[in-house]
Amino acid sequence: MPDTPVKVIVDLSKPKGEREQIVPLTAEEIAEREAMAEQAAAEEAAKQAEQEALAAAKQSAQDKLSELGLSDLEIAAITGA
Amino acid sequence: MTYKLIETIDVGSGSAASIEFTGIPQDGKAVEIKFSGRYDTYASSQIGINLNSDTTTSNYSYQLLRASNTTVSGQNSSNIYYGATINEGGDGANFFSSASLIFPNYASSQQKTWSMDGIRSNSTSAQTIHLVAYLWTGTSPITSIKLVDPSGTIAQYSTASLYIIS
Repeated sequence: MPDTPVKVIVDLSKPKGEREQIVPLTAEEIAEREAMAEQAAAEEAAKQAEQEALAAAKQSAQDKLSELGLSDLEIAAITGA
Repeated sequence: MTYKLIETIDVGSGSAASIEFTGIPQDGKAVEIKFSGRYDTYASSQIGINLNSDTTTSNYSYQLLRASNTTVSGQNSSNIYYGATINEGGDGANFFSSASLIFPNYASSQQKTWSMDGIRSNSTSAQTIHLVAYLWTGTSPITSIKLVDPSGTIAQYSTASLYIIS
């Protein structure tokens, strides 16, 4: 992998065989990617937290149903687990 | 109705921070992009999309439905860099995700709605399906579409194909 990231640009207005260019990113583009990465990481962290909360809630509900006397099969039948 | 392959790009040995289709012909009813790929580093795992070089986050919003293993969840936000999850460097080397993007009425002067569905699976611990609906508030015809990795690079042997439906 080159030290400077590259982008692939495909200009569809050009004839086939002449469309593809491989271009090194500019400093501005590299800075933009870093900002993108931060934003994407924040979204990923939020997603992970939500999934963990859902999984915990699901387990809690299953535990409570079990305490009420439902069998594992009955719990699976109504929760789809 | 015709469904025509306009171009297919294969990422070479140098990997790519992004793949951008520019000069998109304006004579169709819809554009579809088929993507098969992975990141060659551990990344945030989403394939981001950018239209007409518009980098204003508030111009993009999405609603998504996600199935991650056996957990189903939803999410919405304004973010131009959040798309379907694809395989990345932490997965096995031979796992490539697939994603399909559809842009109806891409040549209109209205705000654009479009969609993406994508699948990531490494056959062991990570199977994720995304269905994403987007709104881009730009009213210009879509003339360029960029597939971008926010955190790393798109790996060799990844491909992107653009089709026009007319």
